[in-house]
Amino acid sequence: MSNKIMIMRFSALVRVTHWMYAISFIVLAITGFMVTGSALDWLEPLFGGLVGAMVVHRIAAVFLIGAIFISLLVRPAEILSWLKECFTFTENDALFLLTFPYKFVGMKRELPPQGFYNGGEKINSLIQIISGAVLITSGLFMWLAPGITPMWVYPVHVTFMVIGSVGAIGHIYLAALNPITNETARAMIMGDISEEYMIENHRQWYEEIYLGKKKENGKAPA
Amino acid sequence: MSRMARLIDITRCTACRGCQVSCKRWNQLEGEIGAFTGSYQSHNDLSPNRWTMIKFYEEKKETGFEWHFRKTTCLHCGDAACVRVCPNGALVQAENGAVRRIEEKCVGCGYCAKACPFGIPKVDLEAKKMRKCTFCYDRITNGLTPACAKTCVPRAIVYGTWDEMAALAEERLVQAKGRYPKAQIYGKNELGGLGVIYVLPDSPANYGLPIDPQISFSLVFWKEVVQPAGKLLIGASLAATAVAFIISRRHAFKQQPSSKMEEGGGQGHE
Repeated sequence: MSNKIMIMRFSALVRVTHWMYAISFIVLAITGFMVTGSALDWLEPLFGGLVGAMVVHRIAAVFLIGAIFISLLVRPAEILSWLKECFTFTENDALFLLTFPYKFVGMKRELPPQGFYNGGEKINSLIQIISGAVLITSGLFMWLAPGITPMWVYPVHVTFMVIGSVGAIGHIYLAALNPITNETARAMIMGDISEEYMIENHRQWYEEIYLGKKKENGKAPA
Repeated sequence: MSRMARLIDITRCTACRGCQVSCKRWNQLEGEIGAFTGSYQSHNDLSPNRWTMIKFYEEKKETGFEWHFRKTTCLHCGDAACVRVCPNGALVQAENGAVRRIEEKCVGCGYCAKACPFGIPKVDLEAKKMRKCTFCYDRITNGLTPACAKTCVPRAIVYGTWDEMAALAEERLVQAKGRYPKAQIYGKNELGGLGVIYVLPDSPANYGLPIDPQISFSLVFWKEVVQPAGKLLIGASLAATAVAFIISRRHAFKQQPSSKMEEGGGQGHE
């Protein structure tokens, strides 16, 4: 590890707010599922029954919304550039998705050069951005104004909870368990990642942005 | 046990409100003094402590002034929206038709209050429990009549099997037609047959009842589509990642070392 060149990928702010969002999301998903389904009812004592779980659900919601606000207030430029990138879907991103099924089962394939975020990461971001926006809006209505909240808001909340959870399950698997992608977890914990990984997986970003910078310093690798 | 029902004949009700009192007594619900409602009606609506009450309706018709009194209570629907919506199985339909609430399971979320087409369930926000008419489940399972039916002097509230009450409603309708030509029966066909069959002097809309009560599409969509499909999707994604995990570990041993597995590797991957 020591002789590897490491590249900074995620700033401390992104990492802190990512984990703040992630932990809140998992708590919200579990307590939310306890209210709508029955498969996790055995966890009820952990939260002080269903009544307690509904309180925990609201506390976690405050942290989840807080994570968004903190990141937007502290580093708006960084967050906005992420949003901008997520909403620009290139041809290479689409080509990436064709190789994704192989990646998913741990088979390496030559990737079309990817930007700072690859096509899959963009899709994952979009799933979380859209479902997050819907869940927060509908959830705030259900919490703060149950009297005027129409009935259809409840199934919408549940629907997007399913979409967000399915996205999160895939995301957690790829980041933590899949042997060819789980190196990225380091980027979200330590902040940096090996140059090699960036070349393999984010060639376009590496050549255009990172190498561009390096050439100026006269340290471009062979 | 066959399905039981109450007949509530509002062409006979005199608004004595004996049912309101006997309900409070039997169920040991504390009295509540409400603000003046603008009429002789005692309160504006039901509450966690008021499971039945008489609502007053004044009607000006060509034939003259009519004053009607409808006992408002849980109608113990055959196909109850509250039972469908309850996220915790706290509302169940008993064999005798009573829509029962299981105290320990109720968390006062209020979904039932939202789903009920008649606005019956009321949530005690402090206790975090919903409360409503129990159909005197404790009495009727022990061979007694519900407290309200027992006390009703003009026999405007009658208790019996659903079939008996449906037949009695037809008899009462014939009697009522003489005085109220537009009289009609409410509750025989609505929502799988209600546990309360009303004899009304006029259209149900005149007495605060929905003409064609429905379980909202959102509720059916939520419970019949979103919930099962959601469970399936979450389960399937967990299963898919588990399978992918096993396959990916097998590949990890076969393939050339990646950058992570061996320093300086990963140049010529597959």
